[in-house]
Amino acid sequence: MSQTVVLEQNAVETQSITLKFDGCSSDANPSPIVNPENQSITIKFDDQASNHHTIPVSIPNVDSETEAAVNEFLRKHGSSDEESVRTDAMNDLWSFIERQEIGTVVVLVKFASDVKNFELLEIFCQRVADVIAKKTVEEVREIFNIANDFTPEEEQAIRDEHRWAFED
Amino acid sequence: MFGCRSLLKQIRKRKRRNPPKFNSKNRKQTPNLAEQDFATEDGFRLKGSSPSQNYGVQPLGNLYFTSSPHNSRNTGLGNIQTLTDELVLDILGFLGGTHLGILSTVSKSFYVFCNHEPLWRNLVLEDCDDGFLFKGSWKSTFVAACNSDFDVSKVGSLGFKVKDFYSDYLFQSWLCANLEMKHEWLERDNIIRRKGISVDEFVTDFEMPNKAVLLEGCLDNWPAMKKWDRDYLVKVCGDARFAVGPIEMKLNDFFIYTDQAQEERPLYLFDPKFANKVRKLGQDYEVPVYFNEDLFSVLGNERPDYRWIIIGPAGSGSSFHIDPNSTSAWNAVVKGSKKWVLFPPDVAPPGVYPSADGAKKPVECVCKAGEVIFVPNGWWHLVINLEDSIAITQNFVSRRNLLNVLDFLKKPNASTLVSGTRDRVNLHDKFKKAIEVSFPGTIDELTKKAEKKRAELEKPSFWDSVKDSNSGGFKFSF
Repeated sequence: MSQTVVLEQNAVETQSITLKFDGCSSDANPSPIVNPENQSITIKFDDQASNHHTIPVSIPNVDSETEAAVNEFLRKHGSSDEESVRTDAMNDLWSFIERQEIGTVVVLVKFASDVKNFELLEIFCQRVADVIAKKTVEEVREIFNIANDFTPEEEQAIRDEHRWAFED
Repeated sequence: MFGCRSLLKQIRKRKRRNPPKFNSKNRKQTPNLAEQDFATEDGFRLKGSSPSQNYGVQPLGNLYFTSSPHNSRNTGLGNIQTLTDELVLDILGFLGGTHLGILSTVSKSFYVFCNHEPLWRNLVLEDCDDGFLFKGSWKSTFVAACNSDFDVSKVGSLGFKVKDFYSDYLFQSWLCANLEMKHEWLERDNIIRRKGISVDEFVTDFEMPNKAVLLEGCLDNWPAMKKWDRDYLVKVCGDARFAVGPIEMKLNDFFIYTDQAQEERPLYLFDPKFANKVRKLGQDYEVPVYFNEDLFSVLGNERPDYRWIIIGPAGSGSSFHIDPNSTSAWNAVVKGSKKWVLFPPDVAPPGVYPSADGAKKPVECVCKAGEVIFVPNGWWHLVINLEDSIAITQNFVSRRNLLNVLDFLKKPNASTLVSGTRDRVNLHDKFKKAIEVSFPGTIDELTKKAEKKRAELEKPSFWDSVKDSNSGGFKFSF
């Protein structure tokens, strides 16, 4: 069971902290996650059982279809120790992610890191890497909205330094 | 700091390009530009050798002191800028060398990230399990290995510096690779030292109570002390390949690497079969008399790994760990010197587990050439080479820790914990049987002694029985 304790800092003058308990307590060791945007500190109580996610997680900044796909993975992956079931879950999630926009995957990377789910993190990081690997320099700049900040001379020098990579 | 990077390394499986062909010409890498003299108020200094490339990266705090706070780290990453440095590096860690090279030309930010040496170190260690020829940096090493036509001296020669790039992680990574250790840390030395004691004294004063000690004068007769220098070892070892991290390489190639390595945790050579690979090495030393009882020897060739040669540059070493199979160990420095920090079995070192009691002080020492340290079983320890060093270490079981070892091997998860042998599951039974054959009755005798000792300790003392009114002792009655 994964419970969340949310500490919220209210009025600046008093700087007091309110504890909200979001469920029953557990005595596993919590680790806080700081969110500077809404000035909250979240402590998730994770015990062994929580790794077999039966409770759907909520993922900020993604659409409901994506959230559902990730939760389906967590449910299926956590439901069995059998290699084949877990591989199926990974393949399903992988197929889904391949159809998503890169922006969504970047959000998912951050999410997986925040909740410390290493399987998810690997899948999402691998996907971003795969997207990058297939692209030319110009295409990378376009898809990630990157302004080329090299001067023409600098760019030439750096391309020259990396000529070995372009020759393949 | 979130430790997902090392976990990702363990679980990822990557397909890489074909194994590289080697460029056997020995090209000299041009030395990097020296940084200005850097000494902070609290006495931190950069190492004497010229620092590695930093590309102008500044710590994040500097951003708040500039008049125009623009961070080229972010503009150059575009939509990925919301990810932390570690996550960006995790993603880059999935790319092959060619893609990293191409990506370096996308923006200044990607140029800096893609030059992060640990990325290239991983690529070399994954691709080159036959060994590598180090070319001044891991990136150059990789490029040279995969592209024999390319003039590798071009790599890193630009001295390119990025303005307005602020990143704590990347700055800290560079700083840790180039920071000198403070003298005060090295001078702490509170271990007990002994010279010329008898075996009985050692057993009674140190082995039985499981206490660490540094022994002097035991290596005086070792041929290794006189003969072992770089030239001799290279000659004697020839083409033999030794274990360095995940790969095996020739000794001479390893020294070429150590001459040039500029990282926080350089690789070190650590081989359990050194005496099988080069017989002469095994003949140049002998086990100090205190450690002659070596009960795993009853298993002959089926014994777990028990002896290693350790060769490493300054800064190489291992972080806190306990030796496998509940064995004790000795570590003899032939050349160079090592800094040791040790905690007894019941004290978790800082950073290993969260612990309420962070106050206990460890045993510390510097072990110099000619000295041997005894590491009792179950003790946490951390070792760092302070200079280029060569050492021999052996793990052993004597009658003093035989029962501990048997208990350890009996544990239900023994097959995962037991190390250094292929036959993990049966090791307990095999070992026990073999001991009973070679030393009949020993296990029973030791078990009886241990039970007697336990019973002694459990008997209430006189004071305890007096305090406890339930045992019919003295009572005040008014």
